[in-house]
Amino acid sequence: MNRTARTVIVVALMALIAALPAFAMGGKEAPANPKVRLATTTSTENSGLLAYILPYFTADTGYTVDVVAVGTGAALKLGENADADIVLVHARALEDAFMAAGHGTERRDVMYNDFIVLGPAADPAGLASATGAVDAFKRIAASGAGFVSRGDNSGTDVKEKDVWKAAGVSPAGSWYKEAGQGMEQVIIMADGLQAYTLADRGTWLAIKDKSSLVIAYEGDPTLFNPYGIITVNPGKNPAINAEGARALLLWITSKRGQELIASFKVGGEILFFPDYRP
Amino acid sequence: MRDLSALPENAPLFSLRGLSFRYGRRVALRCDSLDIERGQAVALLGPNGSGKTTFLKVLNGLLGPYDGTLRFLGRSPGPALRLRSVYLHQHPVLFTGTVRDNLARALSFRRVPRGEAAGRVQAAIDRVGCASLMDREASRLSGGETQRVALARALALGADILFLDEPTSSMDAASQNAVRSVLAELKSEGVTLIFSTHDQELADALADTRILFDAGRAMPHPHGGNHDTSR
Amino acid sequence: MDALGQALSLLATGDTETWWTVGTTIRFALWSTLFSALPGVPLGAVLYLGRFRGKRALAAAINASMAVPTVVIGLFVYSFISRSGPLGFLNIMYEPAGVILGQSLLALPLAAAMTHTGLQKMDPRYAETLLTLGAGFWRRLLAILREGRFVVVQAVLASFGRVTGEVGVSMMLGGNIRWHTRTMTTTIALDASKGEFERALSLGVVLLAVALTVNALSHLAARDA
Repeated sequence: MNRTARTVIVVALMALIAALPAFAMGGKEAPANPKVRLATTTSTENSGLLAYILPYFTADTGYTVDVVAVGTGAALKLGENADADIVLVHARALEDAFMAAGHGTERRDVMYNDFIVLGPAADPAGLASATGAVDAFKRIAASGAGFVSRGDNSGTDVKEKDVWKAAGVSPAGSWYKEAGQGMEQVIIMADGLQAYTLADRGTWLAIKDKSSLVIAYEGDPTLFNPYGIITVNPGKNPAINAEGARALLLWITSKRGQELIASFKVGGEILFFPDYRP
Repeated sequence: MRDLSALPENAPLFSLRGLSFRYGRRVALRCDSLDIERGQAVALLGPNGSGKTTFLKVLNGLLGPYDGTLRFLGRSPGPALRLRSVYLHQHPVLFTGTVRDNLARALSFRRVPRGEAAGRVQAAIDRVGCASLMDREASRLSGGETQRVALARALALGADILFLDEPTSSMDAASQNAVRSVLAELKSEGVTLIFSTHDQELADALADTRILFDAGRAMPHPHGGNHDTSR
Repeated sequence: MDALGQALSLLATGDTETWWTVGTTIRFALWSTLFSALPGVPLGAVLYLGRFRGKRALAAAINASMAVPTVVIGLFVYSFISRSGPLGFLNIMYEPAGVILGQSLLALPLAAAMTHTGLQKMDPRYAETLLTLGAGFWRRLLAILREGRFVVVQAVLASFGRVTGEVGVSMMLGGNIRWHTRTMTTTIALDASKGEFERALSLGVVLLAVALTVNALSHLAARDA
């Protein structure tokens, strides 16, 4: 009897803990399908932008957003596999291919930030006097100073490969390290190796207090980094929340969404510049 | 349970021919030719590690596979042997619960109805003289008590072939006497007893036949060891 | 050391999100432990008691599958439960159920192997006695698990420890979604990648505490045996 009673108590306790409800995020009355799944890049999530603006979206529309933060390549793949309802990424060529393949229904420009070249303060490759992004990359390759690449087919990675191509360099050798990691991790690695790397400004601003690196080169229009949002084609799968996805696309490109993006600052600096033009 | 009428008339209970069993590469048991008749009391004699336990376990079907042939009533031993025999370890183990739980569970293994089981449990425990232990936790029993309860568990099942590994070892004199008299009773009821022992008194009192063990080799006793020629 | 101090104060001050993450991790782990032990423990007992062809091969396969990296299991399950996969209609990708499914598959071989090896270390007289008393296979299985309950407890605890400590499956199948599928380990991975070592460390402390508790309980179970 005693043993039975003990068993009952243990089982009941386990059931209770297992049934603990997830803390629900507050919001107004929920739409029929209140959850929108957004696949995006680590840069938007980790910079804090989404955590800043999405609660407003929830308050305005009743939709909550599940954010899956991966590289641009993976985010688009999730859209292609219908595992996301909407994607927010930054690699224009891949985005156009995604649309051309019929995976998306609508694409809009949302915002941009820019890429910057980070490097050690000593600037061993002499980037301070570089005449452009391509020239800066040529100098890094020529000097043999280290370079850490994302190497993960992310938007940043794609941009980096484009610049190497324009510079006529096929990067390889002991000076060139492909990390296969997220932006923050790559910056931390580059710091540890006192090497150069290409980073998006948003991530850099969020992490720069923890790094000894400095901006070695910036300002070339080539390094413009535009973000686009694409609703996934609901014809792929009936589970796709097309209404919620469209609501997010409309909201983030609305006056309110665009103003909120512009009002997001880290250390007093604007990270993302809204650029939707109807 | 003890209905032998449907069985082949002349076949011995057990018949072994060229039997051998190995643990890995080591031959633990060899027996060229041996028959055991029903109702016999067979004492297995020999030093420790000479193959007595292995012999009991192979015959009960706890160890296998083996080389050579082993026949039970002229056939391969199968479920019939399992239902009619029980093996008792030298140091038996009882399961979690009281003595009563242990006996009742053994009967439930063989799907004996509950109503019938209660009576059989009581009869068996009375027989080994352990009625006072009925509601004790099995884990609290002494070694001798455990052995007697394990014997009662086998008796409750109504087995008519018992394989006993040193049934009177590590017991006080009172327990030894109780077990000896129970075994003698069983023998007189026609139960086949196959037991290993170092207890000369037990062997003399009980055994119709003796099998000698030496370094894994099992041989019938040269003089048959049959003191009781009247049987 | 400074980071450790900050980590502890973060826990002590009851940061809601941190504790929510701890709760979610344990919630997921309880379910996946249940779903891995339910088939895993009996499977281990079958391996112990059974005499059948291919038993060694099965045991070897189970042992080998314990070495499969979590991300491979994650990828494998993803290919099934992705909305474009054969089980896409279940709609459990990036949902707690998806994580629990992956974690259960991860811990199942561990539960089976722990049960199997644990029973092998038990006194063989129990299994022999059940056999000689004429118990059928399933009754023997139940009885041996009852006698070897400390083995079962240890197998269950090991599974629980495994799933609370893994990151690959949770990350790949849960997507590390805030207030939804974010667990201790995925938070640690995220925070460490952002260079926010304090919260990563504070959760590391909780994970360590969970691991130590599981270990202590496991020793207790062994001692009671």
